[in-house]
Amino acid sequence: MSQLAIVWRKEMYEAWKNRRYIWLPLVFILIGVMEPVSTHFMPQILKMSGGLPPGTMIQIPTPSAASVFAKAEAQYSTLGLLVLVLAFMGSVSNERQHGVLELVMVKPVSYTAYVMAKWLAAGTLTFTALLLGDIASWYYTVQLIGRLALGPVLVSAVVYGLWLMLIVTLSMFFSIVFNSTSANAFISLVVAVILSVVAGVLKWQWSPGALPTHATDLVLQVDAKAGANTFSPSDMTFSIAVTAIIIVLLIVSSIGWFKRRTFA
Amino acid sequence: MQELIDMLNIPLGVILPIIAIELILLIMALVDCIRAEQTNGPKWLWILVIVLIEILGPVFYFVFGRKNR
Repeated sequence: MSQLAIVWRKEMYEAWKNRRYIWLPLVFILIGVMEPVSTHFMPQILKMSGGLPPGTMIQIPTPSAASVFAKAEAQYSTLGLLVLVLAFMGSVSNERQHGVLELVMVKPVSYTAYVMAKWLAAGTLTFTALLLGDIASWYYTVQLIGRLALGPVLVSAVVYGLWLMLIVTLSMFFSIVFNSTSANAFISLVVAVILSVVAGVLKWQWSPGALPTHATDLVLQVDAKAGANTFSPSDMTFSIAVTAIIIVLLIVSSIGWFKRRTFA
Repeated sequence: MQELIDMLNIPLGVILPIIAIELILLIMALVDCIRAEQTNGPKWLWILVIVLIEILGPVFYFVFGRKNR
């Protein structure tokens, strides 16, 4: 257990030293804040751009606070995922290339402890960034759009975080399998896209790719104005369980690959 | 800038934190880049990227620009 703590602390120190610990949360906050701000100022922005011919009637229905927040959170599946994968794509392969891995592994550190500590450090950072981003987004939504309870927002952040963690875990796995960081980033993002497209097209509500939808539905459900509600707790539980199992399998196979590859 | 802010009727309390965060990102990346002995690729190019590309510029620098040891 103490091995795990030591490698975890080393990881956190490194994330601090290369400033990942600052820029990742800051970027997540900025992404989260954009939607409420641009929604709030949309009428002024339209007026200022002045592209509308005189006499045009535009009616912009004021969107509900919940739907604005949901849209903001959905941004983490595109921009957010890109930034996350960029941050973690080299986690193991870079250390291998720079010879750090040998330095770590000559110490009495087990493969399991090393991989687990890396995963935990990545998880800590991912959830920190997502929570800060979602709270900032919630705060701006409340200030600019309207009332929104914080409770469902936090639950939604945890569910959403699990989806992000799946891709982060995948990216860690590929970082062990491949030497090339760009191949890792590319494949991780492609898998994320495939998962969400499959979940959307085939309506597999139990699949991991449906998690972002469940997370935003959780918030939308609180809001009567949002209309038709698709939120289903059992689907969500199912998809959380499936995702958790895949994450565990990925970690186990990461450890296996790591053992075979490192000093072969 | 002042004109733009007046025209949009933006309360400073809303926009100031956002500008502050973007500035922190930008300055952090700039300081790191200028103090670094070497970067991946020409330093002046990275400075341009950091300053000109909003939000993602500093991120790209931190991910691709830094030369670890």
